[in-house]
Amino acid sequence: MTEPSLKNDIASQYTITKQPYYRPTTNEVETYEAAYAARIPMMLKGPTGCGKSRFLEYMAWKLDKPLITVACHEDMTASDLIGRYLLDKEGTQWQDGPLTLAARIGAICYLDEIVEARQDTTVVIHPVTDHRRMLPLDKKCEVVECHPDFQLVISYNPGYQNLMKDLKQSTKQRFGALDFDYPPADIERDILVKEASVELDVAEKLVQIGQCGRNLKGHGLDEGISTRLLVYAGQLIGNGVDPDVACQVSLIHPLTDDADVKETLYAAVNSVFA
Amino acid sequence: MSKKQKQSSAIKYVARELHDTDYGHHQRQLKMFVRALWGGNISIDSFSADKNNIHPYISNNTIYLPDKLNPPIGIPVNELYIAMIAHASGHILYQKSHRQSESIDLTQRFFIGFVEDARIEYNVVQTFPGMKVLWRRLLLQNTQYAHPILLLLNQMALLLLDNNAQCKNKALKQFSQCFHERAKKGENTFDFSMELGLELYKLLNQNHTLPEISLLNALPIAYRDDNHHLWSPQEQTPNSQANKKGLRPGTSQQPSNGEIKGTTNNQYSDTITLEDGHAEVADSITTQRAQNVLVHFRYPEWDYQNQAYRPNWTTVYEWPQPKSECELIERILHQRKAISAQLKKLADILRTKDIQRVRGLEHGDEVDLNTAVEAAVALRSKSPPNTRVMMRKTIHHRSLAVIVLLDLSESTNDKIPGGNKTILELTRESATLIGEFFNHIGDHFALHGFSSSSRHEVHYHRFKDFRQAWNSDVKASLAGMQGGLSTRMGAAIRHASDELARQQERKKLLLIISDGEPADIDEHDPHYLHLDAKAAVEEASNQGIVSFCLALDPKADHYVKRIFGLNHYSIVDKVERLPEKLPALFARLGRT
Repeated sequence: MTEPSLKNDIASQYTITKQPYYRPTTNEVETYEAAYAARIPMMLKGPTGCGKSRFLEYMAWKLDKPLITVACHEDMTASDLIGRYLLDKEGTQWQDGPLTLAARIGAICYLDEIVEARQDTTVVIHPVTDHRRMLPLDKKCEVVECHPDFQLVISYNPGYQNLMKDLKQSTKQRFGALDFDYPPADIERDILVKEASVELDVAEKLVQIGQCGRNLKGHGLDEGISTRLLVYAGQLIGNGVDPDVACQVSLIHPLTDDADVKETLYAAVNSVFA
Repeated sequence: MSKKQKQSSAIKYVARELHDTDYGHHQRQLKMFVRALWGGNISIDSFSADKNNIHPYISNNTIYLPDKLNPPIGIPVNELYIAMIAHASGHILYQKSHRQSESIDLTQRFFIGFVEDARIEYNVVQTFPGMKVLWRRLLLQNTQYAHPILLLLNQMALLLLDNNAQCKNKALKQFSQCFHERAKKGENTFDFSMELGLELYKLLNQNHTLPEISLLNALPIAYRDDNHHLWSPQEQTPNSQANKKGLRPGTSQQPSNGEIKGTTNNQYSDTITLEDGHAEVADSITTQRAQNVLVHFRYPEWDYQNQAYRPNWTTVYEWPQPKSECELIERILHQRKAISAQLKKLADILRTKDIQRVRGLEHGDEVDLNTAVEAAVALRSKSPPNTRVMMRKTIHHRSLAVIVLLDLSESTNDKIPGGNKTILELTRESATLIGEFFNHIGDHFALHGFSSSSRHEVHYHRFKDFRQAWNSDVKASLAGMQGGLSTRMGAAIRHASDELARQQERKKLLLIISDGEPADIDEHDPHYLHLDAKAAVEEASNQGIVSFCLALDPKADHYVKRIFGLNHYSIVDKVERLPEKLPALFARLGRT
């Protein structure tokens, strides 16, 4: 059993001390606060690079709760989440997994891109996401009662065009969901000014190029240009790189290898940056 | 027509048919450019250019571009096209109405149009400042003028585009300053252009002798359109039919590329034409096959107006598939040898072997020696060992059943834009390649097709059934593939779903390849068949079947998204590459 002081030490490692920058687009902050107050597990949906993870960091900071993030992947097993016995010179020692740790110390556990994990792995989260709020550790013959502050949050990008990868209905229906999208132009412009420290007019132009890229989704591009990439472009411009080159490096080359799409995006960049 | 003229006209015709034109080479890029900058509201098409017919024109939110260009030295063809598109898009976006022009003569109209061009360019430049650079370069290229007034007009155009441009003529400079000041204050309507246009006309008419309108129209600004759309349609041309068809006013010129047809306004007239066309095909097919009908099935259809199913509303007939020479398929495989080889490699990667060693387990059947040794080493060096030292041999099945459902409607007989093959030929090639691919990968798959002639006759063709070997019989069926009739998608989806639901595999995928929206000769409400197809997809989904549509119609967004849902469709923007893209797309979708 973890001692209270040790718990605090561990929790402090995962606590976000500096305020992350997040610009709300609608009422997602208030909605999330209400969901947290009721400890409803939450699902953050939205395209890549639209601010899901940043939002959660901000909320963890605002609520002053530790945040434990797990990047999910195909080879992840239930033990990777719950914990396992490790061998040492004196025999075996139990090592909590991130989910167990979060349940013990009362952290927000964030399973990023949950859809990447196999469906049989994700069912281990079921007992912590309903009225039971407990985590059975079968190998250890222990049942961990979730700390009152514990909350589970998952994220996934519904844009993955792999129809075979989806969450089970039984998993989906345990979460409230916040649907994210790229922010509206004026907010995205403010984000670029703040994050990339660029002038307002440069930010406006980058947002315009972002819109052009998003218009091509499904017509040559699998995903639109994300806010994250726009921030990268702004940072390069801020560091003295020519806007054309910055856009090529951060907005065009990472997105496509199709020569026609590239040419189109070059033309869009040239139309916007005179 | 002289022999030489006839020859030149024939060469042009052949070039256009083969899409060996400037427009043909750049059309994909240009279409994407329009979509990127202005979304899906504006479309482009081309017309056959000749000496007297080189300027773009606009009709029904479609920009018609000349298929051949003669750009100034130093300006690439695609840049001239981009300049044309940006200018014409400005008209579509910033000019809201036509004008009556009883008291305005043709010369005055020219000057009003000239200022209107400058006004819409001013607006475009506010959003896309880069266009100013391009247009300026084009205006500076003009050096030869048939009349001194044209030189003045070119200078005026430069000044209206860029107030800081050099000009010694004080009157022009003053006029341009007035234009920019008023535009900056927000005066931004066609009335503004009328007023300033007439003022410019007066200004030039006072000090100079204006040439004839034909000479004025020869002002060499290559990227600007003909401005016919500024005036109310009945005044543009006595032939008002021409406008409805999207033709250049006053001409009977057919657009050279038939891709953009059938806007919402003329949907019904298109349907009526289809009916006429279909009657003949329906007759011939009906006569050919009447004796061979084996089985028919009845399915309900969703009536969105009554919010209820119409029971037993459609009848699906399973027509015996006519066969042809299977050498055709062998020829396709030979021609596409390189792609076929690539696909086999891809299939090898995807194919899971029957017996798999699953390594890195905590609990398994036997010790994985390599990992165990590494763990022992880690233990001795007092670092945390990997505890997953066991492995297990498992029998792994790729449990996936797929029906590839091909749309075989009349429109598949059309040639693809930018190529010389029909959609049906490409569909056949794709089906052949995907057949080879599945055969190699070992998935259970069926290749079916459908077409329809009213709700009483939905034709369902089986090229290959589940568990049927990929053999010469199947290939002969594929070779006999024909296109005809309409697209009643809902009934075909229901029939395919029923069959797919009976399969034992864990995952089921229905992949539909269609070149147009659902339509049939007995249904004129376009929403009816869309919503029925959507209902059929939902029914399939309730049976655990994932549906995915591959649309060959570049304007399919609005209806495919509605029918199949977000992320359950893909639009093939380069149809000629369908045979290569299809299996790769499937590989991505079907990665289990």
